[in-house]
Amino acid sequence: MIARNYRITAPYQFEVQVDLIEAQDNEAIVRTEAGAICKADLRYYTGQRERKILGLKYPLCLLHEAAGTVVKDRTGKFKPGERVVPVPNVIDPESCANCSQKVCEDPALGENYCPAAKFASSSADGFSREYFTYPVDYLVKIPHSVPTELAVMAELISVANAATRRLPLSGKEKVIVFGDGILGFILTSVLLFGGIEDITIVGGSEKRLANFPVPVKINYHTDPLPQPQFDLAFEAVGGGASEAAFESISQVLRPGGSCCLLGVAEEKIRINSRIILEKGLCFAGVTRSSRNDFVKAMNQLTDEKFASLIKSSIIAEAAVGDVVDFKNEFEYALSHKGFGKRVLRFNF
Amino acid sequence: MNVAMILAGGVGKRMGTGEVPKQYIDIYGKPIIVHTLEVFDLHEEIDGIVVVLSQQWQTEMKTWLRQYDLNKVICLAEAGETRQASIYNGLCALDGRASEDDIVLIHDAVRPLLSRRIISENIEAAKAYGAVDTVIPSADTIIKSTDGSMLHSVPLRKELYLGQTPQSFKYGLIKAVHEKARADKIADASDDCQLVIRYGHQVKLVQGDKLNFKITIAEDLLLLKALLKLGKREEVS
Repeated sequence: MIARNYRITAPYQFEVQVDLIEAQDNEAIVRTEAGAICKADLRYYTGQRERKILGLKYPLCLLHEAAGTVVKDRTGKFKPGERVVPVPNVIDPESCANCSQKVCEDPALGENYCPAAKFASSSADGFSREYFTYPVDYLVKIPHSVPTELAVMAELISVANAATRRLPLSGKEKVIVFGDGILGFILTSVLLFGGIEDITIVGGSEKRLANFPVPVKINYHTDPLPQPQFDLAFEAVGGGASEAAFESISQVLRPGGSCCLLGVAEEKIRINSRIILEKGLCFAGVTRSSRNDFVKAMNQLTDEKFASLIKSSIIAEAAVGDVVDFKNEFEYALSHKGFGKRVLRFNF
Repeated sequence: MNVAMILAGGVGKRMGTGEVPKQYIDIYGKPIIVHTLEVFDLHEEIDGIVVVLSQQWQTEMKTWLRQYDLNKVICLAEAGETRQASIYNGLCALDGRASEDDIVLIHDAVRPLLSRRIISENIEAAKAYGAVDTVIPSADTIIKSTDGSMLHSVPLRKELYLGQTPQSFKYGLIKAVHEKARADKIADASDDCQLVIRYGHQVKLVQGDKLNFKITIAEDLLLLKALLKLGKREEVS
């Protein structure tokens, strides 16, 4: 069949294009129902990537946070009408035969570090499409109790799950999270429901911090940094503020402490290596997530309290009926400095 | 029940494609009509499809239904001498299958770029109003000329729309209208909404879109191919 999509072709410029939709033997056809805009989408929208990189990426369908409905699946794994979330990180099984790195076998890394992986909305088209074909192994069924708009948040939850894989937790650690944006919020929620009781959040906005479900909140504009007492830190800041966050994290970690970095800084930042050496700190990075992180996210969302918390980060549902609506949502996401994000409801 | 009726009786005299009517022209591995059928086949609100086509293409159509896994086609009806006759045949093929309040969406086989939204909005409006036309506002000024030589008048553009398909109706209404037209010896109506209005029923407008264009002449085919080519891209890592 022929289906429509919204592709970015240049900074700030979307076009309506049409694609032939043909499912391969291992693929289902999925109708996109909802999606959300991520910071990475905004970087493509504003053109904040190296020019030569952008030249290779455009034209591209954006969005990797999405939920849809299976309309046809000849593999028999899904029935028409079943709701699914696509895992944006896909590995072609043929690439496994000649793989020497096998990062997917390391539980701390996983398939999201596979060099052969394609990531939707970066190295492959994302989900701003009327219909898309997708390998059934990378579609995760949405449980009946989980509303579609909430399922869109599974991608962010899965990234938080990937972070907890990177730095395994016993539950007794003293944890500090830097970043009062949506990722910081989801990460804090995941940690809280994962049994971590002692969590401190650091952010720059009283309004955003007010939404975090932890007792200790530090506004870095007005409050002093706590003493170096934390076992683990999670950095969910990204952008230009990464450098200051990195420095603060180095200060508040106890000797031998560890940090997981999740925020993306497009520009290179300076790192105070002396303090890392003096305190014997460990820094690990995490980006994206694996299929199992999505499966775990779906299970987490069946918990009413967890679901309620995540739902509080959805500030509105926005109907997207045409490419103008779509572009307007990107403009809104660019200007939005408050808490939470909007879920886009597609009606192609 | 919501049934799509796909009109494929045209002979495509204006395409310059020889013996092959335009709806059967291959576009990237599939006849145009198959692309169109897939849009309805995958739409969750469509329960069945009737294809109205000439006898000589019925064998090919049956092959395509199997080859392309099109599961919602409930019957094939024979095309008539005119569009009106073809639609009447299609409606008769639904006798005993459709009830008065079921919705019939009548669509040209040569509009393969129909969107999911237009189908959904047609069904919703047809249930509420009984009759629906899909239209887009006219971007160009429309000129009226009675002799094809001199301008007669320039109608107000904001009141003008271009008609597309689907045109959607409650089965009981459209069947009754066709029966009346036949009784009144009207045999060559080119538009069902025109007939519905003639017999005193209102028609609700649903917003179409420009991509839902009809492949009528060779340039339209070129446009469709160009649009599909634009969407093809090499994967990058």
